Amino acid sequence: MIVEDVRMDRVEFEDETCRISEDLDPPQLESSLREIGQVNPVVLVDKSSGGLMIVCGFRRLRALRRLGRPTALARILPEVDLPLPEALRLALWENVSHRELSPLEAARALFTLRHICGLPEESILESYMPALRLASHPHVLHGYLSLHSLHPQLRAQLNEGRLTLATVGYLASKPSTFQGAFASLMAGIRLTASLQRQVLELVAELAALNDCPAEAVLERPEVIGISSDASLAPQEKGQRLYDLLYRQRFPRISAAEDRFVAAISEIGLPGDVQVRHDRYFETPSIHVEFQAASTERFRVLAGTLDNAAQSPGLEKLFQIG
Amino acid sequence: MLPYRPSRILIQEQSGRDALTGEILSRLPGVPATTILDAGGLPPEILCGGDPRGRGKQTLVLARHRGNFMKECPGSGAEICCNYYVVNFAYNCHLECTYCILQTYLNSPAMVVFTNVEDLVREVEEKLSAEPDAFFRIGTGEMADSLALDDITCYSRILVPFFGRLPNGILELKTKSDRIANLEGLDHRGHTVVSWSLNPAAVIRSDELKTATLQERLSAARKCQEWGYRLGFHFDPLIRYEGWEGDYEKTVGELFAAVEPRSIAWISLGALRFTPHLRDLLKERFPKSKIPYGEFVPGHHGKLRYFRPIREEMYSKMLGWIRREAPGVFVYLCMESRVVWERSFGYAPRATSDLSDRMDALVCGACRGTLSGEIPEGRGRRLLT
Repeated sequence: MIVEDVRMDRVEFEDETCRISEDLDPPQLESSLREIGQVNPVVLVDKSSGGLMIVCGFRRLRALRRLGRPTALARILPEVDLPLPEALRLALWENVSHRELSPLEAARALFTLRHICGLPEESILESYMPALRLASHPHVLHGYLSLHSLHPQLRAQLNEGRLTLATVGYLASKPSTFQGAFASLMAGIRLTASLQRQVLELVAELAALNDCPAEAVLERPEVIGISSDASLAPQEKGQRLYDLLYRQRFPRISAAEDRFVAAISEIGLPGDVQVRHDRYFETPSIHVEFQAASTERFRVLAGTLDNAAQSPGLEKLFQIG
Repeated sequence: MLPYRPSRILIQEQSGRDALTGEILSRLPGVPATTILDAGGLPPEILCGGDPRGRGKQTLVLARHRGNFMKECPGSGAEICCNYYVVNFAYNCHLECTYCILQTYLNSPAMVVFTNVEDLVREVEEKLSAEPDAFFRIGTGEMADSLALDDITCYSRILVPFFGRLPNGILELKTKSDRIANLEGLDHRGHTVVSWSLNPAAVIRSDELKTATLQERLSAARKCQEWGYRLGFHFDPLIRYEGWEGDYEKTVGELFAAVEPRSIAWISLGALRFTPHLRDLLKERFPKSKIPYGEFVPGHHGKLRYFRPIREEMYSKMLGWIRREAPGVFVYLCMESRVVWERSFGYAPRATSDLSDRMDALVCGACRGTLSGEIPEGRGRRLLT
């Protein structure tokens, strides 16, 4: 293998065909190069049209350029010896040999293989998905291919761990207008993984119910109101958002819940007497439970139940709905 | 209604020896037919490509049914149930109702008709004669529409006269079609109830895609009434949407403008219920349907159904509209709890046997005129006397 010093101005930084890494500028790499210099050569292809295309070493070359180095250690291969699919294969294996690719990096590689190199799906499923430690199934491949065109803000939110892969996978199949609207909303709101799924489902169903695009649901004044409420923490906003959408999607069930809570309040039971309704009010039955640590406390709680039994509000508990 | 014409017919080897197979083939000239070894071994291409559930119906499989034809209705697990039996002469339906449970229930997307009709008849006869004191209401509309394929299968021409001879059973043919031509002139002796599932015209247009229109169904019902059949109507599934009240009230009015209340054996009400899987499939196959977006909650057997107060509101309003037109017509709820009966109708059957006896009596009474002295000493008889 011939390794040579190559001038930085010959390198085509803008050609990212073989790029795998999502983060091109990790700060620790620049520190390392500054301290000990370049240990491993990058791999470049000498294009027949002129210029050197980066195959392996995007991050090292960019760090060296920031450090003002005029040259880099490189192994240069003629394009005829390393056509594009082979170059990408080399880049891919070079990366997976020492780290696990993030979903967006895998998506980028699969997109390039399918749409830039023009490899057939069968070939990708057979040869490349196992290398990426992904299931060799067309659904998985299609999911990753759509991930590649994800809204930039959503990409960032996935990388920051604020959105799950399932969430962005779902969003990737939606129009870019909705992706943008959701990304903007999520800039100030935090949702747990399960709330992300539930909120997106509620938004989709409200949109279908109202014959409007999903982004219109996110642009409703009451949604904007939650998002812009400076008195709420991001997690509180997330819960409020879910509650709001749930109420809009299930108005009758929500109203029944409200009436139940109001009825309990009216009969004046202390907080340590738990009253629950049947699941989804399918029957009018209620379940009453309390815990007493002493005879005295038992008598007090039994007394409050006796008072509740005389309350005119008691009937309401059994008439929800 | 869009008539059914398959693009190909697959004949299970043994089925090729059945008379019904030859008759069905003669009614479908020009449709390529192939013999296969086993109805379970369908060509894999049926399951490939987009919408296999829709495309699969273009294949008609003629096969022999193995095992029992006659079973208890799956609703029999509900708190109050009408004690119904089902006989499955076919699997699947080409009418493409968006909410149809068969989409997720059946293993194969093909249309299957069982050709060993003699076995079916023998089994029903044996079961009914083994319990001469019991009365059986038996329907063929669980796994298929009872009449949608009748111009191809002519099953009704076998079953209706057969039930006419049975002393302790009646047949209910449940349909969303208008394929009644075969019923004319049959010796039914009051032992066949012809039933229609009804919904407002708007629901039929949006979610019962290849079925007969409301007017076609009601015209067919009127003809059956003229031929002396008792009629049944099933507002099942009831579907709630904006404007449902006006549409359903109008539909009830149209029903009673078309048929005489005294011809009606029963009317059932049942709010939409489906599995979560079916709901997802419905969204996928019929994205324009609004049905999945009701206020559903998980209920009996994990099925989704409307929030109870919504169901009660629908039932009580429907009952009011029906009672206004026909105060004496028997109306019952399908797969509902005692609480819902009481809150919707103001009363509830004491037990499943109450409802069952009442329904037996309704049809036993109808039989009595034509089968004098042959009414079984069963539950229906006891209630009538």
